[in-house]
Amino acid sequence: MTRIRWHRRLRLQWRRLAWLFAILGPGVITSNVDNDSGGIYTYSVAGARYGYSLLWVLVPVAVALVVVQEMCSRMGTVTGKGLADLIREHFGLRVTFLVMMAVLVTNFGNAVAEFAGVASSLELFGVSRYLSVPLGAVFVWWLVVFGTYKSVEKAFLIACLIYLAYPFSGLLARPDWSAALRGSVIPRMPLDVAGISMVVGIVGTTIAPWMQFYLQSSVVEKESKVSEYGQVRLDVIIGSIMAVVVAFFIVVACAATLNKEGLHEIASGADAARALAPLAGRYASWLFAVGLANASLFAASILPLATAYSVCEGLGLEAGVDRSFGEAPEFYWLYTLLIIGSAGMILLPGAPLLRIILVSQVLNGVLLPLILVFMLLLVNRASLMGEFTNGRGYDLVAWGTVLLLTVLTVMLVATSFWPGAAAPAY
Amino acid sequence: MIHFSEVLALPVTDSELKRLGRVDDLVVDSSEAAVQRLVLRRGNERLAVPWSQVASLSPDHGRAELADGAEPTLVEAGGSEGEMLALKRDVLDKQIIDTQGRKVVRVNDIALEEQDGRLYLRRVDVGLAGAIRRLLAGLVRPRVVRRLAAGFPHRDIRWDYVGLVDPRSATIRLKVHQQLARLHPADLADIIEDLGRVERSAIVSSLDPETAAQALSETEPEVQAAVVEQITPDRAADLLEEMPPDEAADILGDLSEERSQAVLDAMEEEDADDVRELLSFEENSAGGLMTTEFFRAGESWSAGDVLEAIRGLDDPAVSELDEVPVVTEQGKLVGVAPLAALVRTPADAPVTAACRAETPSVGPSATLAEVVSWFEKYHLRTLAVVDEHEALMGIINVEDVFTRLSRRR
Repeated sequence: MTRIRWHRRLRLQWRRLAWLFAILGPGVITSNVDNDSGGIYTYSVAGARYGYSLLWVLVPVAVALVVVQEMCSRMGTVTGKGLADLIREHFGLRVTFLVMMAVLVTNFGNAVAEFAGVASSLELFGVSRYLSVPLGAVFVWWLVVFGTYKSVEKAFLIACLIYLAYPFSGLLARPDWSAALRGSVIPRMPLDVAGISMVVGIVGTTIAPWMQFYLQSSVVEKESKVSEYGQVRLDVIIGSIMAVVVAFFIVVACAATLNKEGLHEIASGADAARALAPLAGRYASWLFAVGLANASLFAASILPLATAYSVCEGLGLEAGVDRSFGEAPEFYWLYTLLIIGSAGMILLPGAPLLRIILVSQVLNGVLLPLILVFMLLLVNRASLMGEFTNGRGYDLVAWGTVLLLTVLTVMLVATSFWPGAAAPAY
Repeated sequence: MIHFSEVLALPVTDSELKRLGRVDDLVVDSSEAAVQRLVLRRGNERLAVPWSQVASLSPDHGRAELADGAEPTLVEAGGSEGEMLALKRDVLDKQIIDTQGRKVVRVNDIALEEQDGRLYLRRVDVGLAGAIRRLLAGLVRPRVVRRLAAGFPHRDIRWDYVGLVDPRSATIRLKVHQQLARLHPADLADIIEDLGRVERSAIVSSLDPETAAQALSETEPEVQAAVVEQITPDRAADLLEEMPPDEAADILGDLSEERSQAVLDAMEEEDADDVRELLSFEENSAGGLMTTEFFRAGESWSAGDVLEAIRGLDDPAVSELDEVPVVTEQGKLVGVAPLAALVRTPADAPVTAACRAETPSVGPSATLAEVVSWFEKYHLRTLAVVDEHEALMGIINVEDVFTRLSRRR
């Protein structure tokens, strides 16, 4: 009797967990990829330089993430079409082409930064970059070309779990919780160029153009029903919160150690991991480095894929991992060349890495407002969205968010040319 | 051959070369695909000119010239074109179905051909060459564009093989319908999967229920549910009535309670009852796998009677008939006769002589694993499902088991 009851309860709980896993997907993956090597570096610097005092910035970041991504997933669910498809149908081929070329260059730069993250984090474990980068590239390529949508999604969700390394690393650093709480709720703005650019950097690295394309395409591919939109939205909200919680612990880990010991300058995410070792112990340092390697590899798999998808989608070429190489040659070539190119950049001695990353960041900044405005125009078209356009209040919040993001991104671009500003050096 | 990309935005003049505006669209009729009107844009106004009043349309001369006395008339915004198709509004940049290549593609450019003073829509361009023409049109001279585009892979589809996804006119709808109905249901299913939400419902609603049902049953379960949710309950009921009850039940099981209730209410009583019964079983049990619509033979029949009855069957499911369950007058299962054994048994011998030596059966609550093990053990193609009184409730076909197993992965 008791055995049966126990068994039943276990089954019920398993079902509940399975339900959670069934809805987790595109939103959680997209938000987490956002904490890539560039993001981790930015958060580390924020913690090292400003301690707990900038934690409050993460609150508006979470709101902006939810608002922007919610619109994308709503469009995907209602129309069953990707963002690139919709831009093509409503704004024509030429506009789409220009946007796609910008996406291509931007994401190439981002992918280079991800492979740099793979190289530097694994070097902490004594693995040469001439081994880690080619192996990482082959793994990423193999995963997508030979995996099915479901198996790829599973692999990505597991990668999301590895982000838990950061909360553990943060806890091992034994932070001052009351200071962390104060920093999270009391907004204090540093009033010098470096400080402002730090705040802008935190917001700017969080919302990128490629995310919107990737998220919407994967929502479409998941075939969620319109009546189950609530689950899709929940996935987006959970993902955004997860991403911000991870960011919180990265800042906290660095604030509790590097900042406290007066180590304010770090040159890369891997540098932060190295500096943690004597202050918070070997394990905290390892966890931090594992998180970085995972994040970089994860983003390196998704970025080239998302790029190939949206470029082909926008130009009307066949795309998709469920097609064969012969059916979608442009898609596979683009994907393959992006990986070879970005991984190759890391191995090429004397390649202008910093310049590539800088150019891609500038383009990112130019592109983001454009895409966000396209999104808002599309999501408010009744002919496209029917009853699912933005409500009036929500629309106000959405335009406000877009406006704020635009201003901040323009500032980010401007400050990346500023001497002494926190330009990411990966 | 004129490309639509070269025509778009071309300056339009009257016969005295006074500029009137720019080409905004071409309107073709849906039966002959001949250009009937030219639409030009002047500021915020759109004006239409009958094709007979267009004296020349030449990209190489860089303009369209209207005939003497041509009078453009104002086009009202949002006005319907009736049986007409506007190339820019309805075709360019839109998804279409390549009914010959059996896939969904996007239109990059459109090729028109002049014949006896009229302009006909001949092909749509879906390759890179068309995209290059569109990108460069108006920036460099047409001749240079053509030479550049020639260097890129060229792919086009004859207009006869183009299926418009969201056809506004009845003639086009009929044409699309005829072409799509010729495709294999599995190809049609792939096409449906590649389309957006609105287009899916448009296609599924424009096909006849039988074709639509066949295509739908070949799509992924998520797609089935999404489509059935979008179309009206009446239309959904028409489709599900055409499907085997077990597939209909699977689809309804994925919908919300109210939605599936609404569809069931719209279905014919008899079909709805079958589906309701199946819905009460768990999806991965024998009850959830079985179908209740199948051919069965009476215990007293001869082998010849059974074959005669099969010849007379008018049911698409007959192509999947492999083994024939034999029942008593009270509906109790007696045995299962494979088709091959029936053919080899003398026509006047009793049907029971053709039955398998063993008669495996399961109850409706048997698990999928149990069902699979019976299929494996006796190399079955059909497994009988019986109630507690040994009465035959339904059968499970080996295809149903395959489908379920492959979906679990």
